[in-house]
Amino acid sequence: MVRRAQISLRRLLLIEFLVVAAILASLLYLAVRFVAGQAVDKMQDNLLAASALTIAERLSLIDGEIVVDLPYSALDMLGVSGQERVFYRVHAPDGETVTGYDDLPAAATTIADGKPAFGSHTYRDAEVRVATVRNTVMDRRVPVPIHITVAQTRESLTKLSDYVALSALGVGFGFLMFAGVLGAFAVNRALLPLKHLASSIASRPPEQLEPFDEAAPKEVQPLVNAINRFIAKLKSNLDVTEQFIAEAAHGIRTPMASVRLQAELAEREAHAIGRAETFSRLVRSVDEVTQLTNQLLSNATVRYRSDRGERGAVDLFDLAHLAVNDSRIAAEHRGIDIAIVEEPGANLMALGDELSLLEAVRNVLDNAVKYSPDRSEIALRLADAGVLGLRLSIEDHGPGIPQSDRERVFERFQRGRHSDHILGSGLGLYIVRQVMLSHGGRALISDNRPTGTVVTLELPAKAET
Amino acid sequence: MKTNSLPGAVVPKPSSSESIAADPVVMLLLCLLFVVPSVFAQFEEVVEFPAPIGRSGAAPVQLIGTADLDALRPVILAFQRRHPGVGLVYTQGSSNVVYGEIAKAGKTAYDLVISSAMDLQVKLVNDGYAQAFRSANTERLPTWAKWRDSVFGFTLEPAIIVYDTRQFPDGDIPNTRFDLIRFLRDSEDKLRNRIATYDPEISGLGYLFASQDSLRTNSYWRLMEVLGGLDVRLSCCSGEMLRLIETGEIAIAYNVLGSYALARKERGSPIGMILPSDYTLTMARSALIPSKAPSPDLAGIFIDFLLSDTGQRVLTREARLNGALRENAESSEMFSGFSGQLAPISFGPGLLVFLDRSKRARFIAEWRDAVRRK
Repeated sequence: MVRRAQISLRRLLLIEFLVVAAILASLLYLAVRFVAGQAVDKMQDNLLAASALTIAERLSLIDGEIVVDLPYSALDMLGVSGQERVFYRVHAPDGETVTGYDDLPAAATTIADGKPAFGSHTYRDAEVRVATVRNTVMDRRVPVPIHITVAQTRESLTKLSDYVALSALGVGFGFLMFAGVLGAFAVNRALLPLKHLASSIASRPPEQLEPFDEAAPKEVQPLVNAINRFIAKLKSNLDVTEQFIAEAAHGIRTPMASVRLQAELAEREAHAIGRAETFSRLVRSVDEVTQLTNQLLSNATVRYRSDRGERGAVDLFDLAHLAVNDSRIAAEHRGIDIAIVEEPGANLMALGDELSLLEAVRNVLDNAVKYSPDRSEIALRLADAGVLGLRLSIEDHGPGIPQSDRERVFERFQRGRHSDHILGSGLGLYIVRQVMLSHGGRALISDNRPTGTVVTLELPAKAET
Repeated sequence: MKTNSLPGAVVPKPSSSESIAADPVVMLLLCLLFVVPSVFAQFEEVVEFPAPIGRSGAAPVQLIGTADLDALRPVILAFQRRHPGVGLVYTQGSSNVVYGEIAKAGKTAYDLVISSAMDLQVKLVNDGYAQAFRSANTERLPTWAKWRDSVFGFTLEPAIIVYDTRQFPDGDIPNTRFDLIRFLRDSEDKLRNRIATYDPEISGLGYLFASQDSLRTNSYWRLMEVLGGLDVRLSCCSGEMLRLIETGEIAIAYNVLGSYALARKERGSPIGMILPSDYTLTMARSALIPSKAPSPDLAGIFIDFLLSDTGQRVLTREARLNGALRENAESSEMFSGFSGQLAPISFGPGLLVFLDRSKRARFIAEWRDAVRRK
């Protein structure tokens, strides 16, 4: 199967977030650049206009000749603004230069008195800003319009507006970085319910097949719905399978009993003709099939009951007695003594499904009997563990279960190492664990002294007394 | 044709006419004598300083300036001690010739311009004939001493009042312009025709001092009126005014270049120096690199040397031109005991105003009017 490239929602969101932030930062840069340029132009224009007007004030006509008394401040004030080069020109209506730079271009030709006009030119290999004002002097009642043009290079002003814009770019970039951090934070927060959902799915025990009813974000709800539909389908499939197995098991059990009976009868007759071993193998095989069938049936039963969640007060003492009774014949047959040990005066009322719990205890006890040596003792201890609930342990003196097998034996169709010659389906402890899980408890295996196994069932739920 | 003068800006005569009084007849005669040769020999001197360590292939730094060779020689020699591989050629000319040599289209042969005409140097920069140069030493310069990182003032030379110590042995000459006016009025008989100052019309430096004075105090015009009333003698140059004091022809001269006065005083001339305490104008000789200089890097090295501690020390101690950097100014003999206000003329577009032809004509007319009214 080709592994498809995974799409990261987080990365997608973050990238979109950053793209938006980058666009905003660029817009900020452009806007500031524009505004800074305008402000700098305005600043320079004001200065140039002031300079030109200062010169205009010092114009006079003496004997028909235009006289300019260039004021010191006119050019000196331009020097204050930095290190710019300055140019000026005063010219008469006929275009003749009265004083200043002959070739300096004016801002505009038609302008009103006292109202400066501005322009930008290239003069002497430099970009200059130009202000021109007009001052009309009277020559024997004839108006003579005189133009005064003042120009200044704009190196430091360009630098200034560049600097301002660059600062804005810096701020924009900082904003972008900040947005990135905030964005990562926000995306993480937004994805938190998804994460929550994922961990809630992951932490579910495999048997739990109820639909999710936790609150999920609106956007994730379709996914939750789909998962729920999938769970429902899975559950119904499982149910059908379990039911089939139960029915099959039930269907097999009756004929098997009859086969066993026939085989026993045949064995007895075979004794006479010396073919007993063949038939005893047949009986053993039949026993195995019967055991498996019983266990499958009991598994299915336990499963249904736990799904239905039936709960009631269960007296563990009574339960223990019932279980011991069921195993008595097999135990006595091999000289094994089963003792129930209870804490005097302890409250042993559990909350749970009696049938399932009985099945669990019966399975553990059954194992204990099977693996105990002849003429040994099995103890069934009942204890109140306080806040931890109730505890039922079954101690035998069999071969014990090595540490490495203690988890494995609870799995379906897995058996311990010393079980080769012992009849078993591999379903017993699996059922035990299912029952304990459905009761919110657990089943533990530990060593008995000097040899043997202790299986402890912990039931957290006590019945109200 | 050595000269002690500082040919200033806009001098309308050949710069070689150093030792003449303002007498029009003498001037005319001298013009007849010197104008013709000066057409052929525009420059007064061209002196070569070959590199002490032979590097025959390398082109020498072409320096053009207004400064007297004697004044500049110790600086050039000190520079070559530091940079023995660099040869120099120094061409001296009047400030107008120097200006005209740089302010023309096309290539220039010169790498460095050294001039005392602050206004013309600023105009060269303003009109785009200079290039920028930066070094640690140019960064040390005070604001007034540079403009656009293109022109660098490397000396600080005050305009001072000098007097004949034989006539005023106590040196009881007032040290503010306001008091000087009263003093001159009170000693009218004693000082008539025995006072000198620059003629701003023929001396660029005189014009610079006059225009800057007129900006700084109203007393200036009254002082000129009083001087006019005393039949002031108008001079072309500081050297001439100092010589007139040495010969006893005049008793007081106003706005004489302090560096020249100090040099003569140290040689034993009977010269007393007063730095006006209301304010003392100072000018600076300045260097710039033409925008089309063939080897601007070498020129930069020279400027850097001029502004270095060694260069400034040589300028002050050997060339007798006070270094421009403040720490030199305060510790130099020139300013010892001076507690008044230094008013440095700063490089900047303001200097262009008085170069304006109509402004200049108006100012000169006004000045003549003030001086010649009585």
